[in-house]
Amino acid sequence: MAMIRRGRRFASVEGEEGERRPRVLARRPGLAAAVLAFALIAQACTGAATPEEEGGDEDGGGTSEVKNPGVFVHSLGGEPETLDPAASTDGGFGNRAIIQMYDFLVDLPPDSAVPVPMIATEVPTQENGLVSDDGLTYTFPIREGVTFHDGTDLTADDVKYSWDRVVEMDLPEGQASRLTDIIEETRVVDDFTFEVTLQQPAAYFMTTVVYSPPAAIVSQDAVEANGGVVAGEPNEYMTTNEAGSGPYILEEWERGERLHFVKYEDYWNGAPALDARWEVVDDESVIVVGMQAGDFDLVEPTPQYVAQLQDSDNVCFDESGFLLEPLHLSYNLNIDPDLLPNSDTIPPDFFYDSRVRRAFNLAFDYDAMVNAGLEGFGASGTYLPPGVLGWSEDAPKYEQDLAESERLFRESGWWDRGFEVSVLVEEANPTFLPVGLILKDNIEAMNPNFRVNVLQVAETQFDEAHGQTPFPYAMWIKNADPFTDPHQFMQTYFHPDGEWGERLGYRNGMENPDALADVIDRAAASTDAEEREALYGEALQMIYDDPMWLWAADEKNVQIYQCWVQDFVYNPLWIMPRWVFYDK
Amino acid sequence: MQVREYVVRRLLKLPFVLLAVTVAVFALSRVGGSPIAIYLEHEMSPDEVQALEERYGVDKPLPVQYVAWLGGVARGDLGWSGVSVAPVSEVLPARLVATMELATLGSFIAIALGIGLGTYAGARRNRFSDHVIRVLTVSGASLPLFWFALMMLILFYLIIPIAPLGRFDPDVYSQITHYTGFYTIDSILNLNPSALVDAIVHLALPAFVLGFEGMAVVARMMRSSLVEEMGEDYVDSARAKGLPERRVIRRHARRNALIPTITVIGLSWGVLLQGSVVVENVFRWPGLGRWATEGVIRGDRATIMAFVLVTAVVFLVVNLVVDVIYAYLDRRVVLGAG
Repeated sequence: MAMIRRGRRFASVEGEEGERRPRVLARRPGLAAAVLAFALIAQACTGAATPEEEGGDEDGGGTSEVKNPGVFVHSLGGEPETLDPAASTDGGFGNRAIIQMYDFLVDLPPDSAVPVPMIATEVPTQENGLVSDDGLTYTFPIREGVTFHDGTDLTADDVKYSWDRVVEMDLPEGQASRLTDIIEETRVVDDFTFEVTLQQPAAYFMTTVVYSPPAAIVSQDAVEANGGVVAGEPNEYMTTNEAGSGPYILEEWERGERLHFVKYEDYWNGAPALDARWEVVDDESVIVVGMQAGDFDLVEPTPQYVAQLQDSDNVCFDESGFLLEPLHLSYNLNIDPDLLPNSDTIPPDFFYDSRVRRAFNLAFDYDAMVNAGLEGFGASGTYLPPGVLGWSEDAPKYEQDLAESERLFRESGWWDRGFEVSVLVEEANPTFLPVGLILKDNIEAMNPNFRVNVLQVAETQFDEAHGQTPFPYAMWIKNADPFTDPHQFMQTYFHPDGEWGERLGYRNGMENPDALADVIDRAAASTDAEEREALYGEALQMIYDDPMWLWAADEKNVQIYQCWVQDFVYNPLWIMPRWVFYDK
Repeated sequence: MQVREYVVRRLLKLPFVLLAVTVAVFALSRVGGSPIAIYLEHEMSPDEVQALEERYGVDKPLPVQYVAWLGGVARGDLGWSGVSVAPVSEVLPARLVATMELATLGSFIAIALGIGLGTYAGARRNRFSDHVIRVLTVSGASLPLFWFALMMLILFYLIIPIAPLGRFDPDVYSQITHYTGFYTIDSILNLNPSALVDAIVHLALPAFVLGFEGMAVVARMMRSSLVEEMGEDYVDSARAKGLPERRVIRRHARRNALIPTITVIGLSWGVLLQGSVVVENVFRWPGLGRWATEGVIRGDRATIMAFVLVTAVVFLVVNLVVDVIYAYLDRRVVLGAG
């Protein structure tokens, strides 16, 4: 999923650039003086960025003068496509603004995946009696005295209005299905009590729905005064304005440049320490120099650019977490041979055979992906990302085993026949492309009769291909959506009747789809965390034995901030760092 | 044919050229991918894609879409810019003015330095100063602009921090009234010296980088034309009359050498518009180039079409102006057109 990667560029590593310069000089001796001068400048820059002892200590406390005092400056590679919780897309930049300006019923603390109260004064559980015995009804006591940025009071009516609005609008780009897939009914019990009935018990309700952008609480008065609710139509006012009660108020949006936020002085949990500014910088070279110059307090570059900041003065790193977006490659079991690229020689049932899928998985060099593809900022792929319930270091995961891969290719009959197959990847994407190139190298090195074509297309064409059914390629590469609950990963990517299970035709080749479906469904319905963990452990083993994907790597979530930023905390389950926690 | 008649004929052709441009812009925007690609996401189902196509009217036949778009253009409605989350007509003027401000100073630098250095080098052919200027101009023409821009950024933003990123300091910018959108002009109209300094400080480096490439082209053309003119008989005659060398160059050779250079200056506008895409991205300049880059990357057809249309119109008008100037300077152009 490339949505949060818009604008990121593929770039050579420093050493490769260094090797190109002499060739330019050799061709144009007349340039020597000028190029030498510029090369010296570049060298000087590198030198300037590598002081020996100053700053950069893990505990913060850099000695440089704090730039932009009073404002937290966060540089991001894009800007919101919308500010409306009813229209924001999974992984889009809009979500990142929404979590700063809106409140939710529950929150996630910096160091835990267990929800804590936010607008609800208690997190419903069966122990405190706020979840019914059948696990279907959740009662949320609403905090009194909370006001929206427009000055109106927040009540249970606003909560119901906010959720119902998302469902009624049901925008194709939005995430209404998060609510409609699980909620049967919403009710206002009284001004400060809100109740929800689910279609079936679901332990993932709190993290997947209640703490999610479409469940943000909007001011009913503000929305009704500005266009109200129209089914299927975006609300233009809400697209570019906000109607929240969160710690930040949108002050100004300079299109394509920056968004200014001011702290909400009447915030129910105390006003934040700093105002905030979102700087839109889509060129990662500029992000790097801006960070080195101290103009940005926090940046999140791709791994290829992280290395350029590693030795910089007064720059601190947080690489403790992982992105919740494992990089993966799909196998299509629902192929229309007329749609495949002409060069592909595989039959439609090529991936029906589990041995072929396992052979591909065993051929892939996972270490190369982490060390070269992600510059070391990652770990070999697991079917659930680290930090999500059910993830375990002991969970089975593939490692390269060329001998076993060859055995499986021979056993399935493809070793002697050979094949040519194409894999679709987003053009020049710095993390997706290495998956394709490494697979190509590994597979083609095994047997001269094997050929893997890595087809690079623009992101827009990539997205368009994804909207087609049947999917017109045998394989594609992207990353998962940043889900917070294992059920979302399991339902979306692994369930035989889930979104991708249906589109990629799992039931055409999966050895025991009903068994896997049963385990995933039972885990979804369970409200016992231990039982869920055990069931997901079972599912992970089944997915390993009969893989429908090549899960290539988990990318580290590297947050780079000025050491003058105090109290830096980050929970990967948030959609992005939350400025309300920071000071400088 | 008179020059006036030539100008009228060129002006009469302009609407047809513009119409052809709109057809080309629209047709190209329908090649290679969905016209609503910016609104598509990886996980959308075919039904959701269909709903979006209906919302943006791209499910209708192409001629209907073209007529609807052209009608919108005629009314000043260029559609919704997905990358800016606002109507194109709201975003475009500010972006255009930002680019014009940058390109104007860039072209001034290119023309002033180009003609000056080209004349100096041409008059001192094969001397040391000619070699130095040649190195400079060849550098300007050969160095990849993005690399040169990045080096300048590293030098003057990071190592010697005198050139800030962007177009303005938000605190200073918000202090003045924006009558024209040109930050430099508005700061003068507001009689606000700190805003003027802020405008110049932000403008200087990107304009220099942008102008450097244009300077190289102009200087090289100026030098070679001057060298050619200096070998002509009329120059020898002027010298034989006893005119000082400086006057021979200024009054005789340079005037004739300027004729081909003016054509290059006109064409260099295209180079400047191209260059602005790179320079604006590196220096975070909020102009058309950066806007278009984002539009291309994210497949925002409304933004791309507006950018291409506006740059085509600007290019056509600038070329018309250059051709008219050229016609005044060289009557053979007018006669040939007849």
